[in-house]
Amino acid sequence: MVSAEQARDIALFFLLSLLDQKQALQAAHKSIAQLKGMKSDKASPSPSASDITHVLHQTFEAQRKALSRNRPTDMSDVALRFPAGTDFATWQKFHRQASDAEITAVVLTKIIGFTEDDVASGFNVSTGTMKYRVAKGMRQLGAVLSKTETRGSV
Amino acid sequence: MSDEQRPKQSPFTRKKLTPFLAHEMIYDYASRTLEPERRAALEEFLETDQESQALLKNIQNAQSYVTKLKALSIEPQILAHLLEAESALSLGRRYSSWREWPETLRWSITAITLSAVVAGSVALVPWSKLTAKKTQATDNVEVAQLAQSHPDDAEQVAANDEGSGDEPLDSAADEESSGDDVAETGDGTVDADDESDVADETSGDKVAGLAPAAVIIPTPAGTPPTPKAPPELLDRSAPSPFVAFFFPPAPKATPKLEANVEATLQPTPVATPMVAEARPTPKPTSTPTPAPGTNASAQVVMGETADTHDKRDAKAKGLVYRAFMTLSDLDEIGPKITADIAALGGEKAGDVELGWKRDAGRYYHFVLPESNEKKILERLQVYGPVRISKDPHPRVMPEGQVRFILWVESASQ
Repeated sequence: MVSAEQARDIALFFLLSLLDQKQALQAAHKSIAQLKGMKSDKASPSPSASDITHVLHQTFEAQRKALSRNRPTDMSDVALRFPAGTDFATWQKFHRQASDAEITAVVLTKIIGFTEDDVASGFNVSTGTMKYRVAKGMRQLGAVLSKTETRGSV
Repeated sequence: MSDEQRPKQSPFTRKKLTPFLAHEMIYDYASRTLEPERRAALEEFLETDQESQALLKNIQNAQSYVTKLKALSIEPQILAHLLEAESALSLGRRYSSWREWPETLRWSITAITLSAVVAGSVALVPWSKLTAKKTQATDNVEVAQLAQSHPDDAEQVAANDEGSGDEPLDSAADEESSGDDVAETGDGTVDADDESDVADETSGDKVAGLAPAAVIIPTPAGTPPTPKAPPELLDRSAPSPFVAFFFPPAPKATPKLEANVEATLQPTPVATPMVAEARPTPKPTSTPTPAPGTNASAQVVMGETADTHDKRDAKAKGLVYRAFMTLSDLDEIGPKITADIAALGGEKAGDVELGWKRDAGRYYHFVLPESNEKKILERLQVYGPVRISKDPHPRVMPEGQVRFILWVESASQ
């Protein structure tokens, strides 16, 4: 059983990491269906964070191959509602500079809120590696933000 | 000051941080997950390194940015669509339990299954054979089963059954058809149809459709057992072999022709083999299983096929007792039976005299006061087991009188 909150997290992950609404929603649909088919404990019918990150990683890898690296962002009919004061262009710039591993690490740990241990387990990497990816991604995102501020001030 | 006298310091404090190490630790420092010693060392390094300061500021900006992104929301329609996502595996898991199936589907499957079962049973079960067997089963119901004393006796009983049905009763029919019988002397209402009907009823196999109720009257104590009987049956301490009167579910035939027979069962410690047949009754009113050693009255109901039922229903209003005995020393006992009948006020009811001899048997057709009905049975069972039935008959006897037809077969035959 996948809760609405988990469905929202899954959709958010694909929207922010793929930046292609059609592909992102297809991937989210596929991931949710896959999670529903997984065996669940009677005590906790909802899938665990580790299971979710594992499914997201697999689906992301499969879906990512269908998208070119320097493609234009296809978010015309935006499904996301950005809060006031949030600049989506900054995220798009970050997307062009960071690697997939760093983007997914930042999204899962810093935006969705999974722990680094859960994400590392789902991605089959060590916790140290995941921490490194998150740190590197945050530095790059900070660099993008600083450049945006500099240009804005100029 | 020697090295031992100096306070212990962390390796990070002894060695100044390099920019590479400082940059790698800035994220943990911004996330407040850095150890205190490293934190102190990094703060000391940040005071002098501007690049690290800019990096720390960037990470703090990034953290504030991702904190804002946490508030992102998704269109409710898209979210609802995503929640309905199913795969073959999830659908299989969902519908693996019968309870999870849609209610309409469950009822449809149930209805189809029931229809298939009913259609299959109608198509595959041989109803014609079952109906025939059921008819046979309801025609003859074994009331009680007693052990045969000897195979020869069994054959003899069978022969007696046939003989009692054909020869003596035929003769009885002949006798009755002569027109000189008690019924005629009583009310004179017997016509030709009744006579032919009597002939039909009294002819052995033809009467099979009208299986009479049977009452078993065992041999009373003191009666010598049959010489051919096996030793176990000669054991007087053995319990009575009477088991029970069995009344299966009532047939659909009209119960109007049912007649009740009340007879006293007097079990004997000596087992006397006997087989009796009876039709089931729809309303058994007596105790079905008489206890050994006690008198019990049983209500036995006669029955017949539905066709003959309707036919006889209009005619059969009277009753006749049909008794049957098998005796080994018939030449000696035959006159005694005649004397007993006469002593109880019995008179011959046909042309032939009481105890008319035919082949190896004796024929007694007599009318008796109803008050002596039980007495004659008691006297007869002194000589041996009596099988008696009460049959419907078109001839109505005068009130207070009953008519008996007794056939005694010789056991030596």
